[in-house]
Amino acid sequence: MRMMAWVLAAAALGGCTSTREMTAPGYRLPPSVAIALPRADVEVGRISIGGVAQADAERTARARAEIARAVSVYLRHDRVSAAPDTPRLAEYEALHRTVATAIALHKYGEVPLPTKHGRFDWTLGPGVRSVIGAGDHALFLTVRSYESDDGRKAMAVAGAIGCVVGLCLLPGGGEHIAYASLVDLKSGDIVWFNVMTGGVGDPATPAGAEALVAKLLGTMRGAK
Amino acid sequence: MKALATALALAQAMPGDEAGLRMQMDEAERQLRTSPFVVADPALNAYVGGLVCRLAGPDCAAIRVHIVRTPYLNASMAPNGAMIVWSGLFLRTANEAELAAVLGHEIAHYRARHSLRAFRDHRRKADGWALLGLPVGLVAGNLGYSAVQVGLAASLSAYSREMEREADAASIALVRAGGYDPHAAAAIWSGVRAERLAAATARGRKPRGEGGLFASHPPSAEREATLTALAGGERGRDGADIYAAAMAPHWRWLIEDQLRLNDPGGTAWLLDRIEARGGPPDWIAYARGELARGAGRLEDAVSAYRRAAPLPEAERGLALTLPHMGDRAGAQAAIDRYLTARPDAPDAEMLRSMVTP
Repeated sequence: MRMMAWVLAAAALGGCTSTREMTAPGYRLPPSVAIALPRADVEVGRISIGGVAQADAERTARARAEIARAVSVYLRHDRVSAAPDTPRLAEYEALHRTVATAIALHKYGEVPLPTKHGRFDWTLGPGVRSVIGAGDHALFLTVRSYESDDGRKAMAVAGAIGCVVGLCLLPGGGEHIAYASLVDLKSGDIVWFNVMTGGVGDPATPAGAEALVAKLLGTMRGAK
Repeated sequence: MKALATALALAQAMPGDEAGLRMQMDEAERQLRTSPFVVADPALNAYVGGLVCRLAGPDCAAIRVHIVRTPYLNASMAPNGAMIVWSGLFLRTANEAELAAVLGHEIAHYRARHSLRAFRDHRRKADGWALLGLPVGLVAGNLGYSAVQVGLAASLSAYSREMEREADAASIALVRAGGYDPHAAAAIWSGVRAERLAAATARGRKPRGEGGLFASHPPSAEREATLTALAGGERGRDGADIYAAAMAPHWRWLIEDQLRLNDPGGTAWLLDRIEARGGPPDWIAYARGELARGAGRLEDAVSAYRRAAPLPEAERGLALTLPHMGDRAGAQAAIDRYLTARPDAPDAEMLRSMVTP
């Protein structure tokens, strides 16, 4: 079921690599803002030829570390600090996944809500402050990166050939989706948001994580 | 068959699947640790955890029990040692032996690493069928391809049922080793069937069928019959007294959660059974009052609430029923008694506004 939601969200936002920035109108990152970086919510793995997704614990751990490092570099070290991994953080990771999926789907995706027309008023609630601790803002990141294994890639080629002879059985490709939300710790409001679908490299490698972060945060004014 | 074997062999091996599954469950468990749906009560956790330890022996250290506040009968076991027990189980097991049978079933899943085996079975078959799909589709068209997919789903379910049968059989051994009555396991399934029948009958329906090609578990009747046969002629202790003492502080929320299911037939049946087994008369009477009020049988409701009279919740029930019978003074008195006993009741304002004009 959970995978279904990701697939739906990814499908709604289109197949190829793309990002759509969704910002509270007029938002610009203040120059001397302290950004807390909670543990990134990351899952990396592969999809087999038959479409079964298998998580990879080791690559997930590496991707989480590489993404945190890349964010810190991108936003300049002096204003970013890692937030402690408190027990209740897991609740907020889950809340962020839900809210981010709702924004992507109902504000910018296939199912727009009329009540959200012309406004951007999503929030994680003021309770987020007690979980994150110090800082003006917190940057929540959710990354799901599942690539096709070699068998599935070969199957895609075979399927394409099949189309020529009249039997089109095209397996889907990888599933990649990433959300970034900048949260004002006073109110819990999401002041800046972005979603990226499609892969830009292996987030478990330094280069892949940098490419992902550059693409995901590239539209935040005042970030660089 | 040979083509299938070749396809299965061609399906890529993917190492690290067990670590991946454990990581996903570790993540889920991070959320459980602070979830408000997880029952924090130390005594109840110590009771269920202690029973798991006595049954699991050396595996005790690897298993962590999380009691989740969900009013249905279920428990599950993850490959990282997280055992999830739904609170609805406690209303449906009559004694320690029955609880031990359910926990033993989950311990058996853990020991035989069933989650991992199910994942591998899924991957192997899905990959094998994916390779077969193309040639089958070419020969037999889209219909043939769809048939392959239905076959895959049926095959996965059949494998799941096989593992459930294994866990059932192993649970009998664990229950027996613990000195409990091995017939306890079968008793759960006869209860499940009777409750389903009562729930459906009250709604004027037939109970939904069980089993079939895509069921993850064997049908309850089959499980009951098999478990009875496995138990043989032997009996053992049922641990009813210890169980009743452990549950005594929890009847209030267990019964309130069950009532919120809006399942009058199933709930009435459960109440009868809990009563027959010496359950708490006051909470049973209160719950019957709630069912009667929900069905519009006001006089039955009032008499049930009066039998539950020492309970503040029964006063609340009277407060909500008496105005419909023209007894505003009686309702006012009931509200006063309820709010004296439960001054912080979340519905205090609502109740006051109902009577005072």
